[in-house]
Amino acid sequence: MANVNAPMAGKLISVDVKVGDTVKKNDPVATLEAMKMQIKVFAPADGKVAEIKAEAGANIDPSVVIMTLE
Amino acid sequence: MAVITNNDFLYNVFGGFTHFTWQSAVMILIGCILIYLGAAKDYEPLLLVPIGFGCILANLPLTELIHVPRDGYVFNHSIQEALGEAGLMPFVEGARVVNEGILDVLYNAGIANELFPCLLFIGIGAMTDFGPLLQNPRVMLLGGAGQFGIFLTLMLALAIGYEKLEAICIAIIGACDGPTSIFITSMFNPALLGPISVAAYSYMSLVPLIQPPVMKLCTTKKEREFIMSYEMLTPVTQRTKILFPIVVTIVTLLIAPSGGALMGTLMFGNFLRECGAVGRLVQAAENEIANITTLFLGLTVGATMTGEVFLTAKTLGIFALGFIAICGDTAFGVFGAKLMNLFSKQKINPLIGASGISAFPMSARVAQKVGNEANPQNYLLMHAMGVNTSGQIGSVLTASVMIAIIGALQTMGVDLTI
Amino acid sequence: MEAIGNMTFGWLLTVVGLVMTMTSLGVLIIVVNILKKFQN
Repeated sequence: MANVNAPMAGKLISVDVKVGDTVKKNDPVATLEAMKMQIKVFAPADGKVAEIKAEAGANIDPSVVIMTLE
Repeated sequence: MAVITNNDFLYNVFGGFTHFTWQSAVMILIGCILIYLGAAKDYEPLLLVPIGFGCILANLPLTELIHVPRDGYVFNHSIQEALGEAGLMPFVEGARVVNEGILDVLYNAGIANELFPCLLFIGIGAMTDFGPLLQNPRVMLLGGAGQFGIFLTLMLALAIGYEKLEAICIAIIGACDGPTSIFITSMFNPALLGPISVAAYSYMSLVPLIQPPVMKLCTTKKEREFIMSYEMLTPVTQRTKILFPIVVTIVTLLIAPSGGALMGTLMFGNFLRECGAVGRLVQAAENEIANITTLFLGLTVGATMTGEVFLTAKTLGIFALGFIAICGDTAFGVFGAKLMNLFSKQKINPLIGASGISAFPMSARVAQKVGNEANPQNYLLMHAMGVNTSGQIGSVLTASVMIAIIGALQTMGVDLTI
Repeated sequence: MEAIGNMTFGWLLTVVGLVMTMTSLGVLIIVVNILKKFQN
């Protein structure tokens, strides 16, 4: 079980995985825009996407959980 | 019919062709290359396109658009006519009386007196968010470390025989900051405006290519992988952000008063942005004023690039030294960050040190990319943004300090032209 | 007019310039930290 938090304050452009997808550590799972730069958010651990908690277009910061892995 | 066959007449009627030299051809080609790089390759198009066009205009013979900053001209003003009729013309021996060209007007209005770069600085200040820097103020030291390349280049330029004031103008390319370079050059050696601003702007646009290899050379993979948490960033209130530009202005101008034009305008622009009461002025500063100034500045600076000044070995030297300056900044920034790690408990990733230059936000993006390549869990962007904005303060500060020292030497009666 | 050697000039500018730049930045860091202490 691992939470994927936003790495920095910015706008969530898209979540690039679906619930049930299997991801490996360092796979890109979401795209964030900060300071006019698009940044990929990478999975912190191996796992399966359990729940997606943030929506594309939302403004997020490091306290926000984008998705949980199990 | 005798007139038509007169060689002198043909020579003058087709003056555009008969005065065309190989220097004109080479310079027009260079202008075209600059336009191509700007328009087709997207390297700083806002500046390189007007610079390129200005260069073409100035090198077509007999256009009489610009005469300054070269010597040997006296402008034909009515006051001089009156003086001349009275036999009082303050004539320099051998000077040519010319009508002021439109680019002379722009040059005298904004470059000879350093106005245009300062207007640009108001816009830059209005566009800059010092928030990430204020969240972790100690990285401001890296904005200073990123300027060491300026001094390295200064020593190199002096060692290989450039004159003192030339060497300063070349070294300031290492500030990686177009307006600062133009400001310093028009102050100390306007003849070098063309090569120096072209070098400064082309290297700025090449920052994403120049920096990564230097950064990798100066760090081990393990250092690049180091993850910086966002916990070391403590929040700042709007009040702090409002007070910051005022504090910077007072502190830096007490230390280096002659930097007033640069630091004053930069911080004024930032104050407009943060105080929140003058939205319209912020809009004007970062759009209309910045755009108009960029246009005039680019065109006029481009027009100073005449063959006799540009096509010299000096220009090649300026490009080579400018390159060293930017590599030096990057390396010193990285080592500055490593040095900070030796003395501080909160470790930082040395890559963000490379962002201590004024190329904003390219340099911060480079740090993010290189760090992310080494370790996908590594997000350096916000830290690097802080360092990058401090690099802007650092470069303006270094320039101000240099002006202050030179001013002090000149006041003491030291002749810097020999 | 007095004259000054090129390299002397270089070292003078480098040493004094670096000291002044880094000192100003140091002062700024201290001032910002003080500002942040009072921001609540």
